[in-house]
Amino acid sequence: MKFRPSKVWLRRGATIATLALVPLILVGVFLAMHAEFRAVAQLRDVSERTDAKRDLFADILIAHADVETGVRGFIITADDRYLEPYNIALLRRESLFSAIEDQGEPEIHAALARLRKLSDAKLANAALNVSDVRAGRIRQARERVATGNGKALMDEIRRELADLDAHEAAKLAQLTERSSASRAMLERSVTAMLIGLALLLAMVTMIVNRSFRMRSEAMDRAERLSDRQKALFAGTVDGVMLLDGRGRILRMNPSVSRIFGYSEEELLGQHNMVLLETPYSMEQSMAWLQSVGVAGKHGAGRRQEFTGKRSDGTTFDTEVAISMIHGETEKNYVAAIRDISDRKRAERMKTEFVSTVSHELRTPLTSIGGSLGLLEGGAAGPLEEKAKRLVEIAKSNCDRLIRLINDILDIEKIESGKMEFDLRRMQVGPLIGRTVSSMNGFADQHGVTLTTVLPPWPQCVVGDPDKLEQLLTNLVSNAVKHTPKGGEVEIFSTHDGGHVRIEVRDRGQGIPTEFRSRIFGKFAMADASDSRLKGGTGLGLAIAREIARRHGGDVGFDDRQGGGTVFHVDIPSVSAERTDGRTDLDQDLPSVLHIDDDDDTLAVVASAFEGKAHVMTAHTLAEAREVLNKSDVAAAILDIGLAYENGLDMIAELRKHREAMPILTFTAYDDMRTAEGVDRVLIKSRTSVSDLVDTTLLLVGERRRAA
Amino acid sequence: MTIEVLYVDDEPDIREIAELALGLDPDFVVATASSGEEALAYLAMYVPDVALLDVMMPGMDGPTLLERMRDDPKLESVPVIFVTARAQRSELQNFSTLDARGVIAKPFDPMTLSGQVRALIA
Repeated sequence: MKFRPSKVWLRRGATIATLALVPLILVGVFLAMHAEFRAVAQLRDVSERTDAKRDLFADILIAHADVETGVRGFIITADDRYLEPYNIALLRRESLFSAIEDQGEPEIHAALARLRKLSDAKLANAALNVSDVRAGRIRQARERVATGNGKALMDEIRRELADLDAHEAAKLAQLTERSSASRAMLERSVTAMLIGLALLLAMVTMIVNRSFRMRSEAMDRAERLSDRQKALFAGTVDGVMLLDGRGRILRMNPSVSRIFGYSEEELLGQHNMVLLETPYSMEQSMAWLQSVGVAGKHGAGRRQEFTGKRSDGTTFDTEVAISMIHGETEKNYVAAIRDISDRKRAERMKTEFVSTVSHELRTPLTSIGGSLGLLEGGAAGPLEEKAKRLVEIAKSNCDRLIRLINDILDIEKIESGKMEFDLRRMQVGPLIGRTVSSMNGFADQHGVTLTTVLPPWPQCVVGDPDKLEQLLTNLVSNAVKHTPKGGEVEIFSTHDGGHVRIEVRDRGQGIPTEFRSRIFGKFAMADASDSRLKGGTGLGLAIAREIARRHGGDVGFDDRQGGGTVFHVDIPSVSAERTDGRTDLDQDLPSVLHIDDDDDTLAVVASAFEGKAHVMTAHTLAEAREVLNKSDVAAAILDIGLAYENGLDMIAELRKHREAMPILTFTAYDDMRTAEGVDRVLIKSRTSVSDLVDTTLLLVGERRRAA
Repeated sequence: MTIEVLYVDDEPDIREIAELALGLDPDFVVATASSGEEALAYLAMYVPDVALLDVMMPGMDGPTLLERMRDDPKLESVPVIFVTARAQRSELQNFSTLDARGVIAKPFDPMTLSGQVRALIA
């Protein structure tokens, strides 16, 4: 499955990414500021050191100036007081030079060395002058001053100091300029980061706002949905209950009270069994609930008919649709209960009506048809020609009415699933022979010949001989009626894939194009006059197709080359008898798994399937699993109320074994009408064992055909 | 060889037709009764070779009448054939378990009715 991020997830991701950027930006700002603070501190340090050095340069200059001034005054006055600045300068000079040299800056070492040399020369010059004055050689001292050497040295010292000062000043200016550039860069960066931060915060605010708004809208929607659901819950005509994991009623809507006659106070906390007229034990009910699936998930959930019990003890038919939901702490179940008394009553009325029609119409027709038959047969003496013709007409129409009633009853039985099939292994050749034999008289009346073309080998199917004869009779009857006098209808049998194909070929007018799509519909005739001309009921093909389909086959038609129509019936074939007298049928028989904890039931059912299917019995689900492991099972019959187990628990495993496997329940639970995952629910008290066999084999045939 | 038949049906028209139809066979001697109770009164006096019983009759229906006959040692071996307008297979099976010899569906063909009866009791 392709992952598609939802808008919510995208929003969440954007918010988290944005919030993650904020601390990054703040860290960036902090680092930048920190670097700037360090740069400023460094600049201040350098500046202070430069100032100190420049002060030292000034002090050195002053000291030498003091030497110059002091010595000159001493030469002029020979007064020792003038030598006081000279003496102080001599004392300070070394400390000043040491202070500068201690700062250890290599680029000024050369300049300092020159300066020291000049200073030494200057002090030596001054010392000579002082020495001469003290020795009384004032004229020599004055002449030495007059040479200008001392002044030149002083000028040299001043220049050197000025150069050093300029150097320091330039260095400081350069550093200050670099610092300014760095600060400007920092300002721009910090501004950009702060703007980014502001934008991010704005974005986060926007997202959070939007999120809050959406959350608020979602809560509004949820509230509206909840209101609607509450209204639905309260207003639905069906009773709806919320059950806990043990089947106790947690909530219910007013319809439950209306349907069952209990107040809400009486039912809340009660087990749902109080609403059912049922032989289930509490354990069985629990097991049943456990097997209910989640609603809407792969069609899970379960729908079943029960007999409900009202507070006054009266009972009624009810259908319960139950689904599992995940509650806050445990599984819960939602049960929708529908009162189907009216539907059941209508079904019973319909059945009763059909039964009444069957009896009440056939009874007078017996008299009419019997009388006419006796008259026609000469029981009341010979009839005049005209009277005989009138009796024939009356008899023919009476027969037609009987056929119509029979066909309507057949259709009703087929549609309501009540048509019973006695399925057995049978050969197709004799079936065609019987049909042709019974239809020869009818064909003679129409001047049509019936011929059969059968293969030399026997063809076998599993079918109800009477019903298949009815099917073939309908097709042959139609073919005869639509074939011109003197014509021929061929009944042709062949093999097509896994099916026996029986074809009925006529030389009629063919089937009009506009009639083809509805030819198998009820009361379908090509034109209104058709039934009168041909005496049909318009139900024959509908019945034929239903019979074929209930045998796992089908009916179709094609145009016949040279004119006319070919109707064909396909019925799944089974292998024919072998030459040694035994039958391959045993190998072809489907394997049926029957799970029941009652030995007698297992024996009776196995006996009923004899010759029709291999029955493998199991008393428990564990035994059933063993059977599934060893055998290829085509159908399964389950008892529900096994000792300590529920047969319905096997359904998933059975479907895993064979997905399209017909699964039937054959149970004593009278209340059970349907069960999720089960193809047929048959009740022991209402179903004969032969019906169980018929239904099972029919379903197996249908599934084989579908496969 | 004469075959004595008791035909029991609450419909007088059908009784009459059945009597006529069965009477077409010269070997058949037909007696009729209009209800289960009337049939039992007849059977108290006579034991027929075969009894044809309508299934749905007011009062005592055909299956009940059969049970009553089987309770009577004198009548327990009399072959019984049901004649019914309801020919559902499950009903036919039930009739077989009730020890009936066979079932003839209504409407029956009057010209072949005696032949059907002969075939079922053969």
